[in-house]
Amino acid sequence: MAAKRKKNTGTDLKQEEILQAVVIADSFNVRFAPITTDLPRVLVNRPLIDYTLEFLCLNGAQEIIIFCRSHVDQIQRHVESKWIRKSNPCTIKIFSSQECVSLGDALRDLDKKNIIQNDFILVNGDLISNMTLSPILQEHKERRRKEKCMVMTMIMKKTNSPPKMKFKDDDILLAVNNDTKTVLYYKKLQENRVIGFPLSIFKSNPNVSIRNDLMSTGISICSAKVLSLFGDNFDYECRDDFIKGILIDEEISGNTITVHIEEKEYAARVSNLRTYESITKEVIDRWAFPIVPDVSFDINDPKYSYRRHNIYLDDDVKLHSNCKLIRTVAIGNNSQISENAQISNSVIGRNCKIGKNALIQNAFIWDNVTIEDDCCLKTCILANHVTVFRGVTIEEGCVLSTNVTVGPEVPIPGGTLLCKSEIKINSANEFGLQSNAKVYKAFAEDGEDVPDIPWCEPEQPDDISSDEESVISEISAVEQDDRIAFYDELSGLLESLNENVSVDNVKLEINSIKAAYYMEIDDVIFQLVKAILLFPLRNNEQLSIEQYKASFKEETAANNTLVSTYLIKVIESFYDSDVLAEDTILSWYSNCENTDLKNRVKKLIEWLEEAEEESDED
Amino acid sequence: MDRATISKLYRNELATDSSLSEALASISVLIKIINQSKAGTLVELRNDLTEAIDEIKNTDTMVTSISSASELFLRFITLTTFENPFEECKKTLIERGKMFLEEAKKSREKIAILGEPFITDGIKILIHGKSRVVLEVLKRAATESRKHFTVYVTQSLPDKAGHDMRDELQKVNIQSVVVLDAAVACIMEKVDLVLVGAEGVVESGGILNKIGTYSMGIAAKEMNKPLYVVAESFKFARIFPLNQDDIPHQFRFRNSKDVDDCYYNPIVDYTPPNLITLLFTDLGVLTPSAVSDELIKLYL
Amino acid sequence: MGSVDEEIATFRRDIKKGNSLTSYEIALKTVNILRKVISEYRWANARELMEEMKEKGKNMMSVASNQSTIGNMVRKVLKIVREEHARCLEEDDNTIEPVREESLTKLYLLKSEDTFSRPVENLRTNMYEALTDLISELETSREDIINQAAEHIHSNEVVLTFGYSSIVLAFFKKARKQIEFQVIVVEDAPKFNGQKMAAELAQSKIKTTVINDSAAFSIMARVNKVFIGTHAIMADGGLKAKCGIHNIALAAKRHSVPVIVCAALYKLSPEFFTSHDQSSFNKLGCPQEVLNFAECGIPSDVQVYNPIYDYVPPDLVTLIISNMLLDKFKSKTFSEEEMPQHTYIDF
Repeated sequence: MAAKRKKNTGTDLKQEEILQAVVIADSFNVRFAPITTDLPRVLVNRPLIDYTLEFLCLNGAQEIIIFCRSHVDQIQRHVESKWIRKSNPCTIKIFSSQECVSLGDALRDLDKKNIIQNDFILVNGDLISNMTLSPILQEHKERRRKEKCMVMTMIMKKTNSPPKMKFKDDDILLAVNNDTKTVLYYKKLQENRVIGFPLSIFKSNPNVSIRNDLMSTGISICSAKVLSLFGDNFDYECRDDFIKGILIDEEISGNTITVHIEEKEYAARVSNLRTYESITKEVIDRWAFPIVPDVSFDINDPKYSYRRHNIYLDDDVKLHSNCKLIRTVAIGNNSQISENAQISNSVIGRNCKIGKNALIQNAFIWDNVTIEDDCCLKTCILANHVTVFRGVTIEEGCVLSTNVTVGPEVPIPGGTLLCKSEIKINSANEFGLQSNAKVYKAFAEDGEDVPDIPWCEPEQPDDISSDEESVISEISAVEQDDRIAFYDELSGLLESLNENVSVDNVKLEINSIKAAYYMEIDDVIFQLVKAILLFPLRNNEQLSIEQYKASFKEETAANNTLVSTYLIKVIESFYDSDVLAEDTILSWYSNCENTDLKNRVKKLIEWLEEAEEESDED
Repeated sequence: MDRATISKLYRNELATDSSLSEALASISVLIKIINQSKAGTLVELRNDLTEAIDEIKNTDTMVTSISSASELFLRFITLTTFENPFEECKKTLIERGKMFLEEAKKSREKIAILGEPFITDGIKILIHGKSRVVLEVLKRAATESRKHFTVYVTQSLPDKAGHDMRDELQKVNIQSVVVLDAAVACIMEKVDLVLVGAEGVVESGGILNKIGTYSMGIAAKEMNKPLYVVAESFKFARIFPLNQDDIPHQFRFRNSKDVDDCYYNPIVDYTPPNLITLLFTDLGVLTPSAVSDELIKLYL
Repeated sequence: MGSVDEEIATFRRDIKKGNSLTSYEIALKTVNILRKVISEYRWANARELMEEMKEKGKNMMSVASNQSTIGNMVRKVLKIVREEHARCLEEDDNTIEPVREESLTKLYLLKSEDTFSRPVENLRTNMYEALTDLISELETSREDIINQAAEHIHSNEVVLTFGYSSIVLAFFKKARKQIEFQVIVVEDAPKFNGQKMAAELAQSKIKTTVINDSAAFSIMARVNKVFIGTHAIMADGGLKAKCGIHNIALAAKRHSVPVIVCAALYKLSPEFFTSHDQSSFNKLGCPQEVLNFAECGIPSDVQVYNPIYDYVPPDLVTLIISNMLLDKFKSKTFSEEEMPQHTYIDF
């Protein structure tokens, strides 16, 4: 296919190239359990997938391939009824496979099907964005024309949320070449606060920025090659594996990844409960414009009317004259809000009933939910057909799955996940006399991660600074381990020189261990020089002079006390054996900025200078 | 037909249907008169009708709208030319008269549809006394579109019609409060818009309405609040008052008691067009200046 | 590209994506699509045609109910259908009275309303011609406005304008060919379109000054005339214009500076202004333009609004320069141009 692309550079044929997009409509985790076990997710009364499809349609995708694993029927029915229609210029195909447990599996599946020929957009089914992709696509194509090996453009969004607000998933450290936008280093920070970088990225790239203020949008523009790369490497599970793999193999395969950093437009993934909460509010507060409740995706979409304080009401909402909608509220069709109810920062679905004196804050209520009088809801999700009886208080971070009933007159403690119990529960249910709820137990399905991010975790004071030093030594020890082992092997190799092993063979050996330890070439030189210097000095005439010179230019060498102690002796012996000319040493000395080193070799230099003067006098 | 029967007919009409305004009742009477008239020519019939109109005007009611409506009615009769025998003409006239009445009755609903969008959720409205059209607009906004709003009603002396109006509003659960006529300026800063009916809409685009409307208009203008008028098109009258004294005397004073040495109590005042933001009529939403266009089209 | 449906889908997408289309382009596109409806759809009579057009029109409008231009053009086209229908009927036979606009006379004289269900022979070709005429009228409308430039700007005058308006820009360029004058451009935060306007004016060798929005009042004293573009002219003669223009108009009023609006016929809208909150009037843009999302720490604590339009009451507008004669004091004529029916919001 690549060959065909090359031939068809004429503009006519290029226009026929259709823009394809792949939507991975499964999160491959259970962070939204238990609600996702029954239903696909809903955000501001629209199925989540609609936002992603709208985003792709707005960006002119002509063919969308949806890949899903769970709720296939529901997704299929929904997409067919809403998106596959005559007036929609884009064709949508749905694939499903139960065996797929990761993004990698899905892409391998697609690779086998051989339906993607060109550059395509890869997104997750939980993306909400108002970005304009056309300039980025353009840029991607330009770059690919120049650089055949560029396989993917990742799109990252700049954020400025304080570290505390960040989710572990999003804490990414990225080094990027500012000129070519090539990704040089990519790491998820997890718990690590101290990171070592390979030196090479700074040496080979004059203009590098290291960023920790980026959030992955999950949008990437991939070349068709990405699929075959996934196909070839069965260990690629997720995007991170892929990026790491590409970066490690860069020297061998030459494949590169570039990054586009979006500063203005909105893009976010509903990847866990906390992002669900914040994104819902941002959509209602219009940050994702034109993805807002009162702009319809489709002519059959509910038509919300806008009111002051970002309040949106669908048709037929019955508000009691005495209820208070404070701000950032969306209420769906045919819902009813009773006297004295107070609602803020919330979404209420279709056909819901909110009782008198209800206090609802930060609650995300889906369709057909009934909340009786005097309830108090804080930061929770209530899925379809939930009933909350009179006088229930739901504390922060609860999730009530489909058909659950709770109450009356009970408090639900924070962070409770409830689902409907199949067996009949005796009257002593802790969630009220009329409740059918049981606590949802997260189970690890096929070794997947259990929901590791509680919605509202108690705020922990961040005190990394206190034991920072120990962390540093610990981390550098990890990094250092490889170096020490490498160094040991090098020394061993050098010993072998004494046993009349040819220099060529040693070189070969060095190259091979370099590959084994993933060492950068500069690192190798550094370690080699160090090994040589510490090697008994009488052997050194045998080795490459170039490498010695390199060590003189390598200022970092000065930091190694061992080297600097022996430096004067080394230089002296070099001088004596005519390896280094007097001028070379003097010019190095005058250019050297390290005073410590200078002091150490001062005597030698003085002696040399004297000798020079004497010879001049002669 | 003698005078007594005419006024009796008129009173009957008013009594049988309370939602019927004086103007429509009088037209209904006029149709009956055509029916019973023994006139043999169009001119005779016209004379009969004019006499009847005069009689109705004397029955101690709001004269303004009656005179404009009946004038319109006469106009439609004279506009038509007949080639057929007179008896058939009479039939056509009656038919046409009934249609006129039907159309006029529908106009209130049309106005309500037009005016409803201007009443937004949560606003406060000041209205003056009792007006059936205003009531219709407010009812529609409250029931059909389920909007919540507060209405301040002036009690509107001398007949204290405001209390009636408030009762009507309460019946459809519209929050309403009665205020004194003298409190209009005082309440004005609280309200978002002023909505008034009209007895008559004059050629300048101004209106004749229950006494107190003018002061309400001045207060609204001073505080930059919009003043909307709701009026059916049969209230368009061919007069052009330049000041209050230009209003025909029979419009201003009901009977001799209203003006003597001790009292000066006009029941109607003239609100000039510069105080009016828009008029909602069954012809559409008009600016005051568009009114004369309509009248010219009809009478010239 | 193929069918009407596909074109509508693309059109919707373009509008949703933002402000890349000028209202002139939107007007043209709308009429073009409706003209396609005439030729591509099967219809037997005017009623069926109008129904088809209404459906397409609603589809186009649903993307942005506050985008007045589409609605204006759909109404205009529907009006042409009615007229053409009546005209064709008169040619056929004159027993049926054509529909007239709502008026006192009509109200009580007309017996039966025409249902437009009679098939008319030449309607298809006549309609096609009429819409082609409308398109050429649209195409020349800007020229007609611009040609009046020299009558309104005089030598060495100082004129003020707000933000970017293609019609005002062309107007100034035209005037510059004959006389020399100075333009003050208000920058129009948060989009700062005024800066773009100023750059283009300067390229045409017009003396240009840029001021910020808040400086409008202080600079108004030395301004001779204010020229602005508008999104729509509303039924009462007021303007639906870019947010910030009301301030300019008030400042102009304070200093007795005439405010002159350049607007072509497709800007005439039968809408009325009822309240600033009314969702069909105003549109709230992305708060991003006001406050960078990435830069405001925790955005949920701060509410940011970015309204797009302002209502300018008719008494602040001195003159409207259009491609046809308008009398701003008889606003009924404004709405009649578009709206022969009562229910003005749904055509």
